[in-house]
Amino acid sequence: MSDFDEYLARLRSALDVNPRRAGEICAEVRSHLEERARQLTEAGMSREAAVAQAAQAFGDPQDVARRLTQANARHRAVSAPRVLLAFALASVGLISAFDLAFAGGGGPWLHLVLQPATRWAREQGVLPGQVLLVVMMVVLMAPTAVLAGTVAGPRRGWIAGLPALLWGALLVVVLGVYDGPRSELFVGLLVAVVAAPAAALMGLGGSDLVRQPARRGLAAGCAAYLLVLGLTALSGSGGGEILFLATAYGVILSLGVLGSAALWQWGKPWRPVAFVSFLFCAAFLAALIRFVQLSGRIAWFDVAALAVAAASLGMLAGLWLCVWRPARLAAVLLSTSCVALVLLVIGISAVSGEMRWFQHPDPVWLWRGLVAAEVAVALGLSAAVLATRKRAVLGDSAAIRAQ
Amino acid sequence: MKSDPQLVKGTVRLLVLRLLDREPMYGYQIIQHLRDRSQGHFRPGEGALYPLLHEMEEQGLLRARWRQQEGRPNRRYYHVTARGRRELARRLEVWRDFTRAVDLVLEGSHV
Repeated sequence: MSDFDEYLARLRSALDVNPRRAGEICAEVRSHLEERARQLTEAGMSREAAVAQAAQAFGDPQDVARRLTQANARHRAVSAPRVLLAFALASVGLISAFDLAFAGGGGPWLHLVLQPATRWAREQGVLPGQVLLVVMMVVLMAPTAVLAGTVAGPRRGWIAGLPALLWGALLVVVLGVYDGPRSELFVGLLVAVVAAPAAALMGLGGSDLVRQPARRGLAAGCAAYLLVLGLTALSGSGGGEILFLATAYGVILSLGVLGSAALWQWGKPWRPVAFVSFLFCAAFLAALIRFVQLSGRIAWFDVAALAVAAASLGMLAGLWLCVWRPARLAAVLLSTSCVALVLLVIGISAVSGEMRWFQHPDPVWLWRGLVAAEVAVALGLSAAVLATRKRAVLGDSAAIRAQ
Repeated sequence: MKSDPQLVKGTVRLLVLRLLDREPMYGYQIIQHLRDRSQGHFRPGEGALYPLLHEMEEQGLLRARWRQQEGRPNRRYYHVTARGRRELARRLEVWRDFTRAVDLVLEGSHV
């Protein structure tokens, strides 16, 4: 045991480098701190005061860890779970995007966007129609590819392109034994050839897009997205609506997290990005409601409730993952729990009642839930502001770091 | 003695290279040398020096080696690589040109 164990544990937990390098850094910092404390005790200071002064002079462990992580870019942590999560996310994104674009199953996306567009393209010939579907698929998988890259971490965003590459390789292998129509294989190969580099590029973009705290928020967003996909799959209803809702949920949640993390963590220069993210969320939500109203297949109450609750949860997840102090943590955790409860009830009802809510919504309950969620968000944010007594919630990242 | 933080920040890299070119040192020793030799003018933040050292190590300007210490934690000594020496020569030249130019202007303004 050493007097600096607590300080070094905080430093180590905030370092994003491989374990060997982290150990080396901590040993070097320990050596420095011990020497400084020894010098202070030799000058007549008590050991306790010397330890405290040495740690204080070295700086806030999180701030030091952030700088050390930047300086040790070559030694960034290669975490297997993170890589696996990125791969799983990219695979789910690819499969659901393919399903939506090519086998939509009657979902609003297919009825209202793809069919009119492809009808026009098909009039021009078969090939443009298929190419348009591939483009649509790439657009649909974009959020998940970007998120996969973000989860994978710096310079490993290309992992997002792996599922499509493997798919293409598999198709080439089965080419020799496949008896069905060759056109199906052709489409599959076309998808793989276009999707693999596109996803890899988007993944690389995502991996360079955000810094560490926001990555944690996005990872949480991804996990929630996968959870919703799992829930909808368990519901057994299948069909385009569910996938469409799940995709919408994922996009809104991710943008909510990204926007809030940017707003919170990066301060002024990134506020326009956060603002654009939220504008995009709002536009997406408006478009969603319009499509659903036109299709008449899903009550817009459900979509709106889900989308708003998801966006709120995303924001709260971002806040939750960007704060560490117990008071703020408790405040944000409390409000997150409220929103999570609303979502949980919606999810359970969707599963147990075979998506009954999505066909026969109870507006009164939904609006109550929504109001409760929004009140919880407002309370949580207010409590967080009061707890910090700073402008932290609205993005003074320097103030957060200074604490 | 007053010091301009921006000016200090820009020159610490040069000074670290110069110090380590003379003899290998560990982090704490570098801080002490910088402070003592500059008569307190250069006081790099303790937690700020290590990111700089690691960055220079990543760039191949420095190399580090652990040395055993009896009864004390081991120390990580940094020394300048061949690339670091070339970088030092380049920075020294830039620095000398800069100070000469500043002197010329300052002396000229007295005339």
